[in-house]
Amino acid sequence: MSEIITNKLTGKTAAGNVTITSEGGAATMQLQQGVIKAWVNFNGRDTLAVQDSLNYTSVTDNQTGDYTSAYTNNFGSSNYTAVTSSFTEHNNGRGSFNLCIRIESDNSITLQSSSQLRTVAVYGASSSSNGGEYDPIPCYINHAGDLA
Amino acid sequence: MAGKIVADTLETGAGADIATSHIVNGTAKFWVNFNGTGTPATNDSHNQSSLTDNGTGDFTHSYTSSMGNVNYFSVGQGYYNTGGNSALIQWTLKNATGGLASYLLTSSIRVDVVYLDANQNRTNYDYTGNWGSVTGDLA
Repeated sequence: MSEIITNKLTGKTAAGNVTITSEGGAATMQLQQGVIKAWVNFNGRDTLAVQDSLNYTSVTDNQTGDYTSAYTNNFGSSNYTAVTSSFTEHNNGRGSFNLCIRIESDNSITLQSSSQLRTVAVYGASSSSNGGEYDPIPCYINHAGDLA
Repeated sequence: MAGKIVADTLETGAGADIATSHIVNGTAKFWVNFNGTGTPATNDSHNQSSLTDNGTGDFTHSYTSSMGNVNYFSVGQGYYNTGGNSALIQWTLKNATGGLASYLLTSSIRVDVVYLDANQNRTNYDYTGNWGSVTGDLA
């Protein structure tokens, strides 16, 4: 077994390009591109509390089910990805439930910049209730993309 | 050649270590941010060779380096329209006639982007902002 002890990996030909060999050995891939650049687990109910995170400087509670998250190290553009999740309450008649990207009536994204993203936690309509915004306990977000 | 290091473990100066196999397994093997309106255009991506427009809200993403099998993990983003109609927009795996075997391949993934109305009915839709990613084993 071999071990490398270091605090930093830097590409030799290009500083931001360290390649890894694929599981099957057929390809190589850029490590930096595949690494998750930010993630957060926060409790949106009552007083918002971040449980754990990477590269998040803050999560702001705008109103019920409405949050703005900000990064410590910004992305290089707004062309990064975000994948969010929460939970489904199975015993109160509500429809599907999720933490989503907040968009306006014209389908434009409310806020996604290199430094921030605005999300909204909602439950869908069901036969017994309308959908609406809600403060869930677990909220999860992660991001891939290029850092500045 | 730029240089190559073969190692099983990386350790920080603070003593935290991680197996290099975990790094290889745990990094995203594909991600994309694309605009689905008009002529679809990729804004940024990792390991995407092409984006094909199959119809309204129906897209195929092909990989530059193929996955080793079809047992990989894929996820796409949902959006919520605050205009008052409770519409959710979601990236989903395409699962029409032929099932996932026709659309979830080692070389590509085909997805529907749909919105759900207040009655949970779905309609394919070309949305401006679409995000998804894949984790798993490359070939």
